[in-house]
Amino acid sequence: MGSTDLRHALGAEGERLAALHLERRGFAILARNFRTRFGELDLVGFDGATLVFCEVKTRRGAARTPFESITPEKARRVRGMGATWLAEAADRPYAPELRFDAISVRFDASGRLAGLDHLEACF
Amino acid sequence: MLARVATFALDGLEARRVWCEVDIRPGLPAFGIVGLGDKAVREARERVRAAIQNQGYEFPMRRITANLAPAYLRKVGPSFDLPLALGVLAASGQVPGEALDAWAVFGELSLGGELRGSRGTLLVAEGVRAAGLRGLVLARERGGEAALVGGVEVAGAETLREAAEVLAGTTEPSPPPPRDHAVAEALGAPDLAEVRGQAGAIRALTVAAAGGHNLLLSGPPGTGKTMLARRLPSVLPPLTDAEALEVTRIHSLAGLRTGGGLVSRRPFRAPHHAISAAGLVGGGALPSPGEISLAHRGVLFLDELAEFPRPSLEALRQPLEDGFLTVVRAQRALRFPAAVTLVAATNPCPCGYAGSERCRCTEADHARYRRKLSGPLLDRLDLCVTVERPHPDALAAPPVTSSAAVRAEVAAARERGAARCGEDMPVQADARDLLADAYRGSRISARGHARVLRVAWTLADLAGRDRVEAAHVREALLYRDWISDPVAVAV
Repeated sequence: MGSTDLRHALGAEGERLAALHLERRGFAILARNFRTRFGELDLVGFDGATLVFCEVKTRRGAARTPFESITPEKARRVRGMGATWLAEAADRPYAPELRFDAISVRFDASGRLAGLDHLEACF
Repeated sequence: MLARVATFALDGLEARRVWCEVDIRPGLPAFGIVGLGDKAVREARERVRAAIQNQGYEFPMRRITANLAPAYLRKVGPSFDLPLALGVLAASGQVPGEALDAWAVFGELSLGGELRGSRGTLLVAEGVRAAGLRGLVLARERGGEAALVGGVEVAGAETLREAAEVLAGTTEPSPPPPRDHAVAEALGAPDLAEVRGQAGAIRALTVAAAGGHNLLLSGPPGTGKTMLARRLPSVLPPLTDAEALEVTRIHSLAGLRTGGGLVSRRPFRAPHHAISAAGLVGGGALPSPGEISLAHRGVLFLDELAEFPRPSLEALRQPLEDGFLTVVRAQRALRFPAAVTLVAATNPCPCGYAGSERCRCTEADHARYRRKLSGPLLDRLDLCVTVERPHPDALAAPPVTSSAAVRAEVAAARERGAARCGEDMPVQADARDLLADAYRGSRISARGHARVLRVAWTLADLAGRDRVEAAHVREALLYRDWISDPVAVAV
């Protein structure tokens, strides 16, 4: 189905922009779309002191903030994915701090980037 | 940002101040309410969100935490909708926060943002006065009830936006609706002029009204027991202002008030005999008043007394004696007033025709029926009268009296009683002997002794005498004979 492909492409583009944003903030991206039994961990970043697990939500033409679709249940799953990554990732760096972030990427109806919001330590 | 709104939670017959604190900070969009709220308070989230948006405000897509303090106090019902909504608006800068300092707010919201009245408005308005706040913002329909409390500004509003604008000072609050007239309520009240015959029962009704004595009407089906009982409120003196306030407070808490103004008529409550003990004396996780409290300062009518479950009737014994009762539920003890005149009606036997040839009951039936009526409860019924089938001539004759005439008699007797200021009435020697004989012959209990004397006082008051005479004691004793042998009296 074309629309599914389009949605996939939109999500991938959102995650690419989110990763770019994290890199600009001084984070090295250690993992993308890491698969666990809870689901996919979108991004893992590291700035030398803090490991950041990041959930990326991408929406097109939405009036509401994409953050709304991160339910408490979803937040719990992301925490579970983070724990799995910590246990499974080979030669991961030692980090004194862990953080769970959410990034929303909004495109307007014509597909241009409308905005990117980054919530730090939000769950 | 943080905002704080004052509101009130009902705690029995008192309203306690509750601070509704709302904090908005960056984070995933969420709206959490803490502070020991019930299901209705949790559901307020959905109403508040929809009401804010439908009134043209913005619902902040951030992390919202609302706290209802003090946290130990249980918050029940939807009246926290308005404080929560205004807290969210103030914390997000859509309503000036300072505006909320001097006011308490109270009310339920519809999804569209219209304000709805809530139970206990009168109690909340009294709470506002006690807390020294300037006024109360609430649903306009309840403005009249809140306005009964002096010294409190009452601002009625139709919608969330109007409430916000009243607080911000950009809109003048609308005046409360005019008081509904007591006269309108009194119209259509049943009157004794509609009763034919039954002079004896009307006499007992008069004594009950004059002295606040409890009354038992016994008789075959269709003789007018219920009709007579329903007319007792019409011969009682009107409620004093203080009494009216007590009654209004209870009815407001129970959600029986819809209009504004004081309750002007004496309550008449006639619960069906399927009622539970909790329904009669009050109960619930957060205790609410029972029928006996709803009948406070009025008449509690129990039709078909023998059909009431035993526990329900036994529960009446203490409040009948004390005029109040304390309902205790898990760590909560609430006191409700319960000063009522109890009127009970019963058939003399299961078939209803004891003493006439139509009676099909056996001796054992009579005994079983008699046992259903609790002795200790009957001991508290001072006036027991048999309501006979009226004579055919009486049915055609004009009524014996009217409510207005009896009311005047009652008022005069009550005045004489009040003039004694709690002093005992002197008793003539022959009257004293008569009473002593009855007690020695075990016709009456010690409580009965005291109660017969009280009835005799009332009879003396009604007769305009200043001492109890033998005739008064004799009549008072007569009203108790039913207790020892209902069937014999019926014969």
